Amino acid sequence: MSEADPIVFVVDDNRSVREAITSLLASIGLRAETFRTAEEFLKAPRPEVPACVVLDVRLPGLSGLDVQRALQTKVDLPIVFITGHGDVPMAVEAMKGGAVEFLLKPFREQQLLDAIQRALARQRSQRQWLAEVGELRRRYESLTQREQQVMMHVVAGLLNKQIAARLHTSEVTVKVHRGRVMRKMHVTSLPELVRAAERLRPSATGVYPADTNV
Amino acid sequence: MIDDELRTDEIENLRQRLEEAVETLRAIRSGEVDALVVRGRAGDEVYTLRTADQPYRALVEQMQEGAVTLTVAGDILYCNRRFADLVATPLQRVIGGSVRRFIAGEDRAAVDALLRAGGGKREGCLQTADGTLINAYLSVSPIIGDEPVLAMVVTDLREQAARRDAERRARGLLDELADRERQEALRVARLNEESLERERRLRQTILDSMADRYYAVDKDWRYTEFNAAAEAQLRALGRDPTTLIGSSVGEEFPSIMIEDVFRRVARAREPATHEHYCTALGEWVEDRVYPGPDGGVTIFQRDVTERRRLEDELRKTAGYVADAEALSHTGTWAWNPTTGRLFWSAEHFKILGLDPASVTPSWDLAMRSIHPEDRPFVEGRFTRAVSERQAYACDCRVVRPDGEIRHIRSLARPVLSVSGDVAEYVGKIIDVTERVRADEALHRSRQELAHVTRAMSLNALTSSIGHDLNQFIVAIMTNASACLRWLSRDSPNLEEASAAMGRIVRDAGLIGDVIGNIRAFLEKTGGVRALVNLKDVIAEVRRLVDPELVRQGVVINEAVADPLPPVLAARVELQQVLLNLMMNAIEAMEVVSNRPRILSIRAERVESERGPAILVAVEDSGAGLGAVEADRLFDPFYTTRPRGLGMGLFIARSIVESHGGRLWAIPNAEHGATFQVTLPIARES
Repeated sequence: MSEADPIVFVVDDNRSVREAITSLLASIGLRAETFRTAEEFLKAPRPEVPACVVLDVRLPGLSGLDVQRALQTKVDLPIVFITGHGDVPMAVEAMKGGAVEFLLKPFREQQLLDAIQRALARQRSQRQWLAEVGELRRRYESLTQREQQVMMHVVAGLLNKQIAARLHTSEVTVKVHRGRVMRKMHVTSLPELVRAAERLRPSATGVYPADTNV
Repeated sequence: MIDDELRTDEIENLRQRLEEAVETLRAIRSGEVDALVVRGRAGDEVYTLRTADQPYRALVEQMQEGAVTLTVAGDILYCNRRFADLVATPLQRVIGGSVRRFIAGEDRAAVDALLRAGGGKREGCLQTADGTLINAYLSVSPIIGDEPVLAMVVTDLREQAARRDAERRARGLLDELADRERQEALRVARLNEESLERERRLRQTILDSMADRYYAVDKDWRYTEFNAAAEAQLRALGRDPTTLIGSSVGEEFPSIMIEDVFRRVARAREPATHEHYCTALGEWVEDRVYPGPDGGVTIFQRDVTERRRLEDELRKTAGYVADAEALSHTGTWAWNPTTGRLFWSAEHFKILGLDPASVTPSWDLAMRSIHPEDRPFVEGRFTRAVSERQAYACDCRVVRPDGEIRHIRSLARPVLSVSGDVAEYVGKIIDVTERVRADEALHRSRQELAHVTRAMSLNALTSSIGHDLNQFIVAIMTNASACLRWLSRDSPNLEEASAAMGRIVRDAGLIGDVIGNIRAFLEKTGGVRALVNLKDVIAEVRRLVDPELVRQGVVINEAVADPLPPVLAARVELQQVLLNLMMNAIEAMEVVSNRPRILSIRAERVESERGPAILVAVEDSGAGLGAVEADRLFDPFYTTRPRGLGMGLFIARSIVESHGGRLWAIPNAEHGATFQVTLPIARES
């Protein structure tokens, strides 16, 4: 993952608000890129750097929630909503959609900065997690088919003897496979292997664990 | 008995009638009389000041006397039909010629002298076209204010002459009689019954030839004598003339309450005149009572009903005019620029709050009555009207002595003399205070209504405007925080800090603008009219409406021609109209979800049927108008919204119309409707 300077995208139809946020972020060393409408933002290219978006809910044309839906397939851009119209259903929808924060205008600058930091942090950890999962997958894919079978049985809690019986082979052979699996998966204990297998489960892939420090 | 006094009285009476006629003429010309009722064959006709020369003409035409206006040299400027008839010459041939042509040769020099003297009275002979001589009484007097013009009234003395001939004869006979009496006195012993009888008969003949009724009563109020005219009257009254002699006045006519007069005359030996209404005859009679030779009185009576009727008419007319003036709060004035004489009617005094008994009308007093603020304007207008011989009209205020202010409308026009000079100005002042106050109240309530609807339309925008202001507050707070952070760095970045401060100042200014805009919009009054550029008004309204447009997802197209000539208008009122139209357009598009919501606003110069104008069109892509709706849209209290007051378009139209413009709606070919406003372009002056 890249450690280049993060970017904060700001989408608000009010020029004064855009300028103010840009200056605020600059004062703490954060780079901002601003857009007047959702359409402009969605069309703009996004560099491969840590980023988040500060999004006004009410925009001319497509709304902030429309942007959130459009972004849902791309998991790597956390959203901080800011809005002058604080209605509950909108906030609920935004949070369900995975928004980091839903700030009511006018907000304290610290609230905004905290939310942005949290969004960037979440993106960082998400990227890290994704990198780890990718590594595990590569390791898993380096296993032979037999080794993968043995690994699944081990993780399911079967004894070597039971595995040998299932695979119609000798207990010694199972032990050899098991040793190779441990080595190839870079684990030293059974619990470690179980955890790796858990993270490789198809249902877990692509879903980022809930932020714990909210 | 018949003597010199009688004749003198006869002539005096005639003179009085002439003077009355002259006085009537003078009063009409000087404006003392405002209207006349003339009883003609076609019934009563009222001639008012509106056609001031009409009653004058009518009266002149109705006169029994001939009337002529003429120059000092004797050239006839105008004459009435009666005069033309007298001289048996067609009217059009009389006017323009010399009056001398109609004066008998021996009288010409005398008439010339009258004309040169500028007035006077005398008897003279008229000469008609066929050479007939008519004995007439000529009265010449100058027309007031026009020194070179004279009026001559010609009274036909032929009838009177006949009577006077008789009188003259009688006088001669009386002289003779007196002589005889003297002879008889000398020959007392030789009383000649026959001669006396003849004298009595002669006397009777004379008396009977008189048109006046003659009665004589002795000191016991018993009738001793009467003439033929009196006999006719007695018959008309159903009395037997043969039994009258010897009966007393009281017995015969108990209803006649004139004994006082008789007694006074008998006692004082001084003649007296008495006028009374005779019910039985249905006529007004004038009794001239003379002391009789035997301690009683002689009475000459004549029918004066016609004269009384004319007098009554005049009195009544004056009363009607006064009533009409009081009812219509209209005062009349007439001003003669030559003599400076100013006449005010009673109502004129009343409107100015002045007492006719204690002040004299004067131009100075009139000017002092006018409100100081209006005085220069009125004076200027009047002076210009006089110098240009034009009619004039103006509205102004007068301040009464007690400080009360009245609004008046003043109208006047010049009355030109025959020579084309301004003989006088006649004018009306109409007290329009009540109407002005009603207008003001109407204006106020319309403004209040407009204010309420403005407040309501702004109310609809509250949340959008609030959002807009909130944005600026966010920007200001964020800039302030940024500024602090730039300053509290280890090495403070003053450039960024001051940039942030600059943005704060700018945004605070924008907030001020929004609030100022709203405040101006919520002003109670619509504000004074000034030259306004619609481009600015559109921009101001857009500042209010734009947040709402964003909120409603409406796209706006603006096409305002540049440059755009200004209109004369109350700015806030125009803002209200445009705001109303734009808000209506936005609302009309709330239901639209399957096509873009587009609001177009267009402003350009056009030629309307009332001249060059600015057209502002507000077009939406909303639900459009039904046929019924387009009809009723501008009715008060017509609304399609559950919470609308339904006054918006009604007010908008009344505002536009008060600016001399029009407001109407047309359905669009495809979607929505277009509201169009035209406002006249302000003239250069």
